[in-house]
Parts: sequence; C-alpha cells; structure tokens
Amino acid sequence: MNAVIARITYRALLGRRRVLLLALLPVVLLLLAVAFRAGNGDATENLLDHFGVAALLPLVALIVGTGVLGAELEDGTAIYLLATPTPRSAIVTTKFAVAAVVTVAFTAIPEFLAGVIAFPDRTRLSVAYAVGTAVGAVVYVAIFLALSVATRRAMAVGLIYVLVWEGLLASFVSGIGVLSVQQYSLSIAKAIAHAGDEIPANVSLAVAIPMLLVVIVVASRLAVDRLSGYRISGEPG
Amino acid sequence: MITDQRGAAARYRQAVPVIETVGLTKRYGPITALDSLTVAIEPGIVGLVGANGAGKSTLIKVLLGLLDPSAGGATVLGHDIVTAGEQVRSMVGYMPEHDCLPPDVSATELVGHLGRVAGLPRAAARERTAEVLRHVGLYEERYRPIGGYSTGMKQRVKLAQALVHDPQLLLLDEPTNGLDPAGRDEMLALVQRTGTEFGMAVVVASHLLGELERICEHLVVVDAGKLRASDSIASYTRTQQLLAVEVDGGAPARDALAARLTESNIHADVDGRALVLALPPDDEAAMYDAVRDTVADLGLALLRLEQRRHRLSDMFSEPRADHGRQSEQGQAAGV
Amino acid sequence: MSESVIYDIGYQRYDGQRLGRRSAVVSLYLHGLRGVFGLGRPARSKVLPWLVVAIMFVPVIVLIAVMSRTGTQVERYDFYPIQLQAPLAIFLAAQAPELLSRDQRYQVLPLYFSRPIRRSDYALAKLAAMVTAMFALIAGPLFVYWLGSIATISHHPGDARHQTAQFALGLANGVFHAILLGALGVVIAAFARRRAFATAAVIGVYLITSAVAGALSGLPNNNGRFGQLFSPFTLLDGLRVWLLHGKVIDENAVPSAAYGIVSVAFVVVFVLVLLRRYRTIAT
Repeated sequence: MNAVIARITYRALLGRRRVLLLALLPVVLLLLAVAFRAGNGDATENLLDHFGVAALLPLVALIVGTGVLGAELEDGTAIYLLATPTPRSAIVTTKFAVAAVVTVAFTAIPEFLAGVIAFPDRTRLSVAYAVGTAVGAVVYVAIFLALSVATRRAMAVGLIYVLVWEGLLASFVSGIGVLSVQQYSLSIAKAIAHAGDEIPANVSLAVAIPMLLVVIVVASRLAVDRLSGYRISGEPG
Repeated sequence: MITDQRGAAARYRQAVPVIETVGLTKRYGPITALDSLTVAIEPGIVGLVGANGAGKSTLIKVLLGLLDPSAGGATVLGHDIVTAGEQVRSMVGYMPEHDCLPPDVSATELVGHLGRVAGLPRAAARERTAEVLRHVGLYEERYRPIGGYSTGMKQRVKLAQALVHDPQLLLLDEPTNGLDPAGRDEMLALVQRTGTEFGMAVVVASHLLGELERICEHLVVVDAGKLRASDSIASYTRTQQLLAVEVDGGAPARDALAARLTESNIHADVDGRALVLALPPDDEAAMYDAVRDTVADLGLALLRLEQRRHRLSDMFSEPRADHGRQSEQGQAAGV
Repeated sequence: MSESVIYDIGYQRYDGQRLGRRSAVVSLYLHGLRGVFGLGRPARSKVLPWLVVAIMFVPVIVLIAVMSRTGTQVERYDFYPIQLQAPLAIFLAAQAPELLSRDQRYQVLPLYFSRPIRRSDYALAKLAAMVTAMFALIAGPLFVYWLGSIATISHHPGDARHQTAQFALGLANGVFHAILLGALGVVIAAFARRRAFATAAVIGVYLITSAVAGALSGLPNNNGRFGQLFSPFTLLDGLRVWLLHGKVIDENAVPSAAYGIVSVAFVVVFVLVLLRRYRTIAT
C-alpha cells in the first residue's frame, strides 16, 4: 500500500465531473426507494436486486474499476507511475483498495439506505443486501482492474460480461451462476437475511465463498503479472 | 529565393486582395486573441508570422468560419466570412496545425472522402485524390492505414486534403510542424511549387521567420492579436546599412547616449546592449563622426562600432514588456 | 530521412463539375453508414456489427425453417425489436461512438467544418446514418422472412395479404425504433471523446432505465407504470401497442397517447441537443 498513490488516485477518481456522474446512479436508487416508500411497494426484489445489485453495482464497479488504472494506461501517463521504484504489486494493491472503497461507498451504502427507506421494518434485509453488495463490489473491482491491465477494451469486455453473461445468459442457463458475481452477492445476502426473506440466489454459499475468493486472487495475480510486463506504446492505436 | 513578383502576379487569376479584414476581433472572455485586425492580403505566397499565441491560428479559423468573430468583419476571395461562409469554404483549402488524421483509414480513403465532402463528384474525387497524393509525394504508402505513417507523411496527407478540391486559396498552419530539417526543406519546396506554378494564393502561418523568409514574397506580422506590419520581403530586407554602437556602462550609459543622439536628430533603436541607427547612404562618414563625437562628449567608453544589414528579425526587436518572447524570436530567426 | 522521391508531374487544376452541399451531405451520410458496418475499415471493426447482424437473422432463419417444415407462419412481425433488445442495444452502444466519438477523438472535425457544409449537416448526416443502420438491422430479417413466407404460400392469397400487412406494420414499428434508438445513441456519443465512455454511457442508460422501469413495476396498483415511459424499449413497445394496435406482451403496460407524445418529445430533445453540441463544439 502506498499512501501517495492512494491519495492521487482518490483525487483523480473523485475529481469534480466524474463524482457527479458516479453519484447520479445511487441518487436514482434512493429516489426509487422514496417512490417505493410513498407507494407502499413491497417487492423488495425489484428495487434491491434488479436495480441495486443487477444494475447499479456492476455499472459503478465498471466505471471505477476500469478508470482507476485503465485511464492512465490508455493515455500513457501511467509511465510516470511505472517508472518509480514502487513494486508493481504495491501499485495494484493500492489501486485495488482505493477502487474497492469508493465502489463500496457508492453502492453498498446507498443500497442499505435504500432498503431502510423503502422497507423500514425489514432492517435485516437491508443489511443483508448491503453486505452482499459490498462483497460483490470487491469482486467486481478485482475483475475490472485486471481487465483494464490485460486489454485496451476493458470497458467493452466488462460491459459484455455484465450485459450478456450475467444478464442474458444467466436468465436462460442456470449453471452460469457459478461464475456470476451478482450470484455471489445474492447468495451472501441470502445467508445473512431472515430465512423467510426471498432473495433470488441460485448458488449456495458453500460454492459462492470459495469461488469469489478464487476470483479475487486470480484477478489480482493477473493484474500484477500483466503490469510487471507492461510496455507503454508511443501512441494510442 | 524570391521569385519575380511581377511575373508571378501576372499569372494569378484574381487581381484583388484574397483576404481583407476590417477591425477583426476575437475575444475569449478576458483574453483578446485578435485585436481589431485590419489587413489586406494580396495574392501570392504570403507569410503570416508571429510567436506562439500571437493569433495566427485564430485568424485562420475565424476566416474559415470555424470560430465566430466577436467584432469586425472580413472577406475572403470577395465573399463575406459570416454571410457567405459556405462560398468561402468551397474555395479555400485548410491544413490545420494539430494532428487531425484518424489512424485506421488509408490516405486514399480519407482524402477521397474529404474531396467528396468538398463537392467533387465521385469519379473526379478518385482521380484528384490520386493526383494530389502523387503531387505531395505519397506513393505506395497511400493504401496503408494512416496510423503507421511518419510525421512527414502525415503532414503531406494534411496538405493533400487541403488541395484535393483545387482551392483558390490555401491556408497552411505551421506546415513544417514536427518535421526534421530535411522534411522541412521538402515541405517548404512543395508549398512554394504549389503556390508559384499554378496561381494558387497561399498563406503560410508560422512562428519560424527563417522558413518564411525563404519562400514568401510578402509577410504579415501579428503580435498579441494586433497587426504589426504587412509588407513585401524586399522592403524588409532593404539593403540599408545599419550601425550598431555599444558603450561600456550598461543601460544608463546606453540610454544617455540615445538621448543625446536624439537631441542631434539621430534616431537610435535599442537592441540589447547596443544602439542601432541607420546610416544615410550618401553620407556615412558624417554619421560615424557624429557618433564618435557624442560618445566622447559624454565621456563614455566605446566598446563596439559595427555595420549591420537590416534583418527580418529586427522588426521584432522594438523594446517591449515581454523580453522572453523577444529573445525567442531572436533565436528563431537564425537561418 | 526522405521517404520518397518526388517525381514532379506537376499540380493539375480542376475545372470540372462541383456539386453543392447536398452531394456533400449525401456522401457524408453514406460514409457514415459504411463506417457503422465497418466497411472501409480494418477487419477488427467489422467483427461486432456483423456479429449483431448474424444474431438478428438467427431467429428468422429458425422461423423460416419451421415454416418450410410445418407450414405454420408467424402471426405478427412486430415483436422483433423488443425481443432482440440486447443485440440492438449493444450495436448502438458500440457503433454510435465509432460514428461520432471517433472524429472528436482524432480531432478530424476542423477538416469537415472547413468544407462547404454546415455543422448541422454533419450532425444530421451522422444521425441519419445511425437511424438507417438500426432500421436495416430490424427490417432486414423481417424482409427475408416475408420473402420466405410469400414464397411458401401456395394456395392462400388471404394469407399472403395478411403476411404483407403484418410485414408493413413490422416495418413501421422498425422505423419508430430506429429513430428513437438512433437519436438516443447518437446524442450520447456526441458528448464523449473516448469511445469506451460513450459505449458505457449508452449501455448504462439502457441498463439503468430498464432497471428503473422494472423496479417501478414492483409498486402495487400499477402505480409505477410511468417508469415505462423512460426506458427506450418499453416506451417503444407501448407506442407499438397504442399506435399500431400491437398485441400486448406486458400486461402491466397501459398504452396511451402518452407514449406517442413522450416518444416524439424525446426525439425532438435529442436532436436539438445534438445540434447544439455540434454548433458549440470547440475546433
């Protein structure tokens, strides 16, 4: 962990305009929560899962995860970072930590607040979803960070993963859930919530936890390896 | 290498000024990029010279309609830039200063496409593209994607797209940007050939005086958005002799000498530590004597008394607030 | 180092025909349309658009095979866009930036704006190219199916008429989809220099609005159905049901004139914002 890199990354991520964009999405979630409260809605799934976990979480994680290192790599300014004696693993760890914290702040906390606002008497459910979201945020960020080092088109690949893999296929093919970050989140949420709460997770906890740990470790290793061999090209293609 | 101006002018199609501006002004909030610029640019190869940020690119962009003027007006080839912008753009070719080429298409594709957007029919666009790319010196490379070109080749592509629709006026913004010395020579030769052979009016904007000296017949000098001078090269480099006088004692001594000379009706310009005065062609000796006597009267020590030919860069060396720019131009003028 | 010797053939002047603004705009439109499908670009740019084209044709091929086997024909042609939302959204997200953001990224705009076209011409030509492409994606497969259905109809002229009428409705539906989706994708891409951002923004809008519509549909008493007005595909589907008397898929939707008004309003806003963007963009 490197405090200087962390500080610079925070400032770059939360620079004025981007913060507005990032904040927009959780605000929509909160507005929806208010609408739910006003309309006495009780379909928790729609709000906290379909919007919170399936839309808000992946998008914010994508923007933050690919932006935290990917932007520097793409426009070539990463050379200033890579030319320092800081070990690549420290760079990756720091960036990962910053990205994870920011993503959790913009997804899990709003998720919790939304749950509390919309369904005030089901606090445990809100906590469950929030924790699931937080875990999902960490896993997503690991994946997207690794992607941003491995390929130029990290954003596109990430979108395909979210839209096609987790969105389209997961609703048709049930086995896919084993490799779906959203399913890990949901399965953790289910474990924390009351037995009676319906949380649509179709992967068991016993599978989800090891899988997500494996994903985090593999992604981090990939990121460090790729970064160690990284060559900055002269001009973007 | 100044071509015969009379002969060249006779070959040009239009006898009227190609560009006329009247009080042209462009403001960006507190910054004034063009300050009430009034100038008439004649046909021929004209240099638009000034330091970086002097307003050359802004002037070109305003003339093309890429920027709207804050005040004043201008006509290009007889058409008003605001009300007849399309006519202007159909007759003008523009070579921007910055990188403006997409990397994933070939030169042939890009220039052909831009030719069509300039109004050429399809077959003509294809033919003109081939001709113009040949003219600028791109052969087999023209089928490869532009991303793999060297800087020299990219500059040629930029020139080619400005020429493809056979404009009557070419506006070139820093055409030798990023080129090595050999590349510069080739580009300048290309520009000169294009301008002189077929009567196309050319305006070349550059901060490099030395290059413009070589190919232009006429120079327009801009500084901080204002017009400083507009004259033919010949008149700038007239062979009037100059005398440089340097005395010991720093600025006070120099200024005291200048003041005393002024009292005797001798005008002296400051040039660094020295004073520069004009030698009257018919009576040089008298001037030498006058200077010697004045220096002696003041009791100053004479360090240097030197003859000098009028240099193009002298027009920049009037005393001004930013000496930084002054010295930059002094260096850039070295040919 | 000099790359090539200049054989001085000399510069030729051009005294031929000069077509006006209209020809220039048409060539800009055609160039954009080709670019959207990756024609005239390296092979890498062709992968995604043609992959989507293939995906769009797959259901139709299957249906034709079914038709030739069992003779059963499709009742309606107008479900096509909404069932294939994802490929259409992906196409839009990937190709609108190719059309618009690319020129901004490489600062090619001065080369266009110094030519005898207006800035609005440029923006509208690009918009038209995207709308045409979206329409082709929807209408192409429908056309093929219709041909197939006409070819296999043997003795039932009534069926032929029905198929053709449905095909026409399907085309009309396709037009509405192409216009709204095209305008949405183009206006988003016009504000992004980096193509990846534009792609993410388009997908983001699609995801978020769908999710909002979905979330709101969870409100009791169908209170949340106004959310459908703000998600492109549900909005267009409602338009289909209301205007074209299409068959209702989503029971929660209550189509009304609101769908028509909102659709038109969105398109108008998108186009105005697009024009303003290119009027004020820095060169």
